[in-house]
Amino acid sequence: MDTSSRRGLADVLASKPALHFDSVGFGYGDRPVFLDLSLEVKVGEVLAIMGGSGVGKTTILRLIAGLVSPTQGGLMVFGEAVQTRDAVALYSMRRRMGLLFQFGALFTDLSCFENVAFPLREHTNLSDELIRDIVLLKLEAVGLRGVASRMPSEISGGMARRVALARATALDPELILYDEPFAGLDPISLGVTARLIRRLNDALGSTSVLVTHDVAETFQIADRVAVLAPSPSGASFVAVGTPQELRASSDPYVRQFLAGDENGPVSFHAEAAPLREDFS
Amino acid sequence: MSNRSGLLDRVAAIGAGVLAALDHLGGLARLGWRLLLGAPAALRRPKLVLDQIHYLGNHSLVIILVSGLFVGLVLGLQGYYTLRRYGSEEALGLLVTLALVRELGPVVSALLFAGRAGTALTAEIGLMKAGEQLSALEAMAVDPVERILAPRFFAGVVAMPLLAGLFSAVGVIGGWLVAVVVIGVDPASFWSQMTQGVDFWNDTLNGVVKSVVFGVSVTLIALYSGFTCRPTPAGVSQATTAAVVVGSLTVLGLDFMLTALMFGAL
Repeated sequence: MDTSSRRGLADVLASKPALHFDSVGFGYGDRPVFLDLSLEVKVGEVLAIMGGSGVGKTTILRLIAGLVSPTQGGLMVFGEAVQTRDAVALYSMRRRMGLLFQFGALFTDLSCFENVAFPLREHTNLSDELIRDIVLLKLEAVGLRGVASRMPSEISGGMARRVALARATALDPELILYDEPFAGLDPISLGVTARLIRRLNDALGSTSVLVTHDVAETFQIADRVAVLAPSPSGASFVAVGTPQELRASSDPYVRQFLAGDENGPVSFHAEAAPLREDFS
Repeated sequence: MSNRSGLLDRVAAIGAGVLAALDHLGGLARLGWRLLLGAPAALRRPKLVLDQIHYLGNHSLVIILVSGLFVGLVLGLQGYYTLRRYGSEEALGLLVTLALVRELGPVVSALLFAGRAGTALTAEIGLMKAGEQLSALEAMAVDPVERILAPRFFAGVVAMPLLAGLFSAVGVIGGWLVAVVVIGVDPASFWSQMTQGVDFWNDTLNGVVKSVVFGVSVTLIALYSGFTCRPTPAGVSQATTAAVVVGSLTVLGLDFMLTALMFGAL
């Protein structure tokens, strides 16, 4: 698919970046998670952040949402630094974004309908009739209008993720963050969800950042892909580019990751003492 | 040398325990302050508070009413055996009512509330945290303290005195059953001694103040335990246990202090 043709609106809107990472570092106590992350995401772009499990992909989304703060460098969202915003400014920023959690994080005591209606009820004064129409449209977009009245415990994990996607986009956000949107989906739902992410982004003129390790689907919908590689001093981006550029990359980590190869800079086995020491 | 280091380790452990306790106290105070700041938002949407009053209050009714009845029955029996020695069986109504209104009503209902509603609150908030529902609220620009914790806090503060009142009322009926129906104390003496001997301001209102204080402390501790628990099954389980233990001990400690202040013993 030609990515340049579907970015007409994005090119117009891309006067300033939606996100700007400027040498961002982050860690928990003495344990570094990231080192020197630098990246710019333009308005209208779909950026995929890829990397192995546990490398810190989800933490990047939490940094963007202001749920945690960088310990080094600067992170600008909508042109303003996240770490210098007070609570009111942070909430105001979050009202402009939607975050899809890895396991949906649906409210278990609310029905699917009420989950999607929740941000509308909290942040708008829309009438119940209008909220109903919007919620049903959002659920229709993810193919789940038929489960509107069910509780989250009555639907599958994949369906819960799609309901959460409807909730994340309920307010037509300018920036949508997806945490592993393809994990646990069947092939049909996976393809539909991938196309939906692209379609939503283009229809709303928003910007999307998804963290995933699903190479095939991601390469079909992403404008650019950033590959995050682990390191003892903190993970960092080893390659950022279009899917075509990454396929042609000569970086050993990128090549190992895309090929799913056991041999390469990343070992399948965690660091451990020699096997015979444990079994002698 | 090893004795000295062992002693130092023990001192360090005590210091760490004190620091941890102070840290929890500070956390409780900060959460309490945030809940007070969240009061206007919670009161602007009274349905959220009313729903929680229904959830916390109605679901605690059975245990409160049944316990109140049995406490009243036992008080009637024990009081009768003591008062009979002095020929003062007519004062049984007064004894039962004073014991319930001043002490047993607020204290026992607060202990039951900590066990029934407090644990439910801690588990609910802890599971919301473990399921990332609180993070989801933050991500949706909704303050979880204002939206989730504050309505539950004010519901607990309102529900507690109501439950304590019901506990005392049912307890008085239990005392009346034993005294009048079973033992045969004159009903007129039972009621008249009670109405003349119980002072509304000094006895009843002090009991209400106690139950409000207990409602604040039990609900705050339950919410704090859930809000700060580790987001794992074991973490939620430990927080739930801590909520009922710390909540109950706090009620007993506060009761001693309040009794000393209110009834002039100190």
